[in-house]
Amino acid sequence: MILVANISLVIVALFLTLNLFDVKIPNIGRVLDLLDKEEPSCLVQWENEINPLPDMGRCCLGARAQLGCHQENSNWVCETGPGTLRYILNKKAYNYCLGQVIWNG
Amino acid sequence: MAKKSKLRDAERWFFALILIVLILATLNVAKASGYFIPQQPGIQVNAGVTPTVQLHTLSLEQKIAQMIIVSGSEANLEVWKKMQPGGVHLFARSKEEQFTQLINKYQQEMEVHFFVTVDLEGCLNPFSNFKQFPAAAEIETSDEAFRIGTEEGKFLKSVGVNLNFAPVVDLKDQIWRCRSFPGDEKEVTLLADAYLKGLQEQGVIATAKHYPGKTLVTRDPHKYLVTATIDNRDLFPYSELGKDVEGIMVSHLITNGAIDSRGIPSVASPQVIGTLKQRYDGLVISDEINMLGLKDFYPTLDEMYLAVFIAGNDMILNFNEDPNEIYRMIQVVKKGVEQGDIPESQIDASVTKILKAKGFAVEP
Repeated sequence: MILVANISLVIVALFLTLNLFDVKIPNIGRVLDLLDKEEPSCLVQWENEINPLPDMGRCCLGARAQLGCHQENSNWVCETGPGTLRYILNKKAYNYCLGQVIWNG
Repeated sequence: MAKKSKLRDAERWFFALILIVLILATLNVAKASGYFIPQQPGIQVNAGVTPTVQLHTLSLEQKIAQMIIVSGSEANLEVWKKMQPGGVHLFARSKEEQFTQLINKYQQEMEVHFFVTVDLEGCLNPFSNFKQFPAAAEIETSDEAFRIGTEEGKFLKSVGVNLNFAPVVDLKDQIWRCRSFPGDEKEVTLLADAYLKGLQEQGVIATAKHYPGKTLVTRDPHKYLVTATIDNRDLFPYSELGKDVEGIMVSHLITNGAIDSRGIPSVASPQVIGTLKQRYDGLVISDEINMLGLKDFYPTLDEMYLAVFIAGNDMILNFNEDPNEIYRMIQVVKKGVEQGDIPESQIDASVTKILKAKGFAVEP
């Protein structure tokens, strides 16, 4: 039992050391994102009009700038308040944005 | 007996490893919060009717930092105050007090205050949870544009925001459908001019964007690097507003036609920014640099950092939430200046503009 704990601690210590020296390791979220073959989709809604926003960089920045994101059906909706734009992202696009440096650092 | 000894060894290892993990975790947390980034000395300001900054008293790092606008999150408050970037950009918050309290914390004890920036364009509004403004697309007369510019300016000033990334003067908005003023290039210019005068009369700097135009048009979703053909109509607002607007934001588009970026993103093109600066002496501000249109163009971040500085932007938007990366950017640019890739006189000219826009007199 203690051997298993020690091996786990060595692995944790290794990851923490790598992180300390900026060695990037693909995390589970990124791996899952890579395995997800769905196309990312980002839409912007102004009043009743919805249009695609193909530029994912701009989509992530726009969504990040909102007050928050919540799930609506299978999509994520990022918005701030009444009378302003809503960003509608599918799961693939939302996970992609979460992995960007402007979102979680 | 031997089994007991092995068990004792394993226990010793267990406690040693726990200690190592705790130390490493603490170091990781300290690093993430910017603990290892050195404190910059305060910029010396000589008091007077107009407070004065002597440029030679600033270190190269301090000057480069003044040229960067970062994401003004609460979590990075202390490290940004330590590093003293030129500005902090604020995203949406739910209450007015959250903005004012955060801005007050940022500006407290700063000899040279931060630019506090937002994207308030009506339909894009970080305050919309408690304060609404009409979208640019809904504004029809210059009187209305001036009134809205004034209202927004009064509100922004009361909150503590001193630089707004608006108005949009792209002629067509095919995606958001609300960010551009209605009409042709002359009508857009008329409305934008009235709006920015209203804003700037309240002491808030306006930024015309996104130079040289055609940024809000639909693209091929499989291409991040897109070329747009710029014509004189796209440039009309900039030629007319140049005398009034205090800032112009440059986009990542690769352009040809009336403005030729020579195959590289406009924001990193010395040709595009050089030509703009020949006719315009206000602040030239980059669009956010972590967007794919720019990032994917360069093999490394270091090359991108150098390119946007070499091109001649006065201020660079880098909303990377990791302060260590912003610090690294400053070091990369510093090395670029020391190696002669970027003339220090160019950095000095940009910092002089920034400090003057912040209300300081600047002496060499």
